[in-house]
Amino acid sequence: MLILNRKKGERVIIGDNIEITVIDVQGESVKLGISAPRSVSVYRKEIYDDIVRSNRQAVENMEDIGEKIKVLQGIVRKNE
Amino acid sequence: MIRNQKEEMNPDLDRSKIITFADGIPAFEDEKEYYLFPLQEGSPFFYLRSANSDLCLLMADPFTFFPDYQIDFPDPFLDHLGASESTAGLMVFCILTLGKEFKETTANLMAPLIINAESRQGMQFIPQKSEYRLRHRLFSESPKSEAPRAEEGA
Repeated sequence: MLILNRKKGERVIIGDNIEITVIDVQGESVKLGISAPRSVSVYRKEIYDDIVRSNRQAVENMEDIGEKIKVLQGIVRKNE
Repeated sequence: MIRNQKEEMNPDLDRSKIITFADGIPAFEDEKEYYLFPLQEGSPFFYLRSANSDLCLLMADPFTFFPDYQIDFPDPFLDHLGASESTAGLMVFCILTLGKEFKETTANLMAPLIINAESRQGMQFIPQKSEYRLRHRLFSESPKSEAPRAEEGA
């Protein structure tokens, strides 16, 4: 991992077309400006990780899916 | 082309109907080709099945269960789906997580799966921030009434 010091207003360039600017630093919080092509997705890491976990969990309880689905469908029909 | 096992077992699967998730789905980055099936005609439930493995996600139409649901996609996301010109083909699904009891089923409203029916491309939407959670109960928590949330507060 590359580790480097940047001051407020300074930038880092990644590859040809990704630029990260340190916009502000307040205590433990750093405000970053990220300029990247539209094809590059930028996510908050903790949100992405939560979604990965949630997706994994979603496929975990699929063994008796057929039975559960029948119950779900019954409920939907009841409410129509 | 070698047809995979699933297609041999299931001759209805038509490769022209494959939906491509170019980036995969978070946690399943290597699975890029899926079939979408409604549970049955007109059902708010759908399966998203990998064309190349046993991976299968159960999804629901969020608007059926959460009528106030709304979500706003930034332009770069629409570009990814080939929907920057027209959003007419966009379909929104929420991934369901089944609990031990079916009543514990939750819907991920924070990060819906979006499919562009016109370009047959799909992608999970990962928000920068969201007023929704990864787990919303699909059914009302009252044990007496098994009404979908949709009817709460209506």
